[in-house]
Amino acid sequence: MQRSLTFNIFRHNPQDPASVPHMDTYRLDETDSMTLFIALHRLREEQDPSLKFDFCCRAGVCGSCAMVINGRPGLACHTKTRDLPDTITLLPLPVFRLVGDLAVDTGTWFRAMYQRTESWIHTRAEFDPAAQEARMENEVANAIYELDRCIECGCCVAACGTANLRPDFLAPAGFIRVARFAADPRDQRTDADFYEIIGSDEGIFGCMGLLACEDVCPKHLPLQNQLGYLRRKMGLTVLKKLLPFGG
Amino acid sequence: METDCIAPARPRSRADGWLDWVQMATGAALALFACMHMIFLSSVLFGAGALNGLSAVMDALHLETVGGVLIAIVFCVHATVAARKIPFKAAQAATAWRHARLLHHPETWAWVAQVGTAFILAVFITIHIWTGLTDLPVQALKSAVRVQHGGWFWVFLLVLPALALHLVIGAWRAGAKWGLITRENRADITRKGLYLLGGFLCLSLLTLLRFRLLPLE
Repeated sequence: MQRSLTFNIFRHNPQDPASVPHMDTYRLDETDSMTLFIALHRLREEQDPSLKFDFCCRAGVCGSCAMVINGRPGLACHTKTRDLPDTITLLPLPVFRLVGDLAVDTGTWFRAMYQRTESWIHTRAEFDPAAQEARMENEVANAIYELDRCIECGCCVAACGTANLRPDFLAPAGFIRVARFAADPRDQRTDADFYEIIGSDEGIFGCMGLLACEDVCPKHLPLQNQLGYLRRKMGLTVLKKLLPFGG
Repeated sequence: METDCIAPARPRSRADGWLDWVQMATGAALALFACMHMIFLSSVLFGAGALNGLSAVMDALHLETVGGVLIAIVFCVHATVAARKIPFKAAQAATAWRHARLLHHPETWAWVAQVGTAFILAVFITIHIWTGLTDLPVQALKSAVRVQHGGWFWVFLLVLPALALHLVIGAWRAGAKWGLITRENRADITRKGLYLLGGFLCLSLLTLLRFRLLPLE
């Protein structure tokens, strides 16, 4: 039987001084295989053209349509309305700057994170444009790719307790980025170098181990295992610094 | 234009790494001690003589005095170091509460419970250590008098579940943070943690009941 869905949607335009944050209610008849992405487009086209939300690929690749869906961060294009109750509450992701309604600016945050983690291959090797690219074992390449699949949707950041409490926290998206370069044999940074980036309470020692990031990641990145791996790696690095032969 | 981007990092030091180690090590030591303390006290289930006998052996080895002082120091260090992660400011506490309510995530609620129980334990264990260390050796009759008079039974009834929760959640989170709990074994270890919680609660409440019913003559 076709359901009538009720949408409670956060509305606010931070650029307009007169705008007051509030919730608007819309009703929509559910259709077969309806996603939140489809529902939001119908609401905008049929009921309220001023409704703001981000989208691009509608296939879970671009990460633009992340929002808080009934309390949990997730992708609108990945979420089927049939998996949700009759009443659906949509909020913008916390932590990020609000653009308007459900749209947030994840780009600024991710750019700053990439700069802070120095998210590029660090090598002293002389670049030879004529030489063939160095070969890599397939197993290593796959391991790097597994950590490189982040679509920058920001769901893990929004679900992270520490990231909600302190704006200087690097958050799971930052840690998986560091783990990606730590796994890359072309990157010549040592554990001590990585300690300079994440060896603090704003880094890996600020992670409280709540694992909400692991549970909401729409790409099922191995966040939990990598957070543990990086903490052990940095914990051992600080212990080694105590030892006279530890470096 | 003002942006809520990630704030710049401050210069690195070894302090945060060390404090993380200290927090985990003191927490693990206290959890181990709490389990041993509970097993020791539960010997009263076999009669007052069993507890008094064990206590006499420990007293002869000076374990109760030396161990008690050491545990008091470890407790103070753990409380101080772990407190730096608690959102004390009203705005931070409100954010944490709102986040937990919004997310409907069991592990996030578990952290809220751990913070809440930390406050209960900080007050009670300070009193418990003081009253215990100034009235050594531990004896069944002294503990029974304490439980049967002065309302301590009701205090213990609040504190024992708080201790069990704080201990099991703390151990679980330490495992998650340091990678002992992985994606693969998470469900299994969570189940075992719940068994440990139930076992600790049953043993502690039975022991409390035994002290409540122990004849004072």
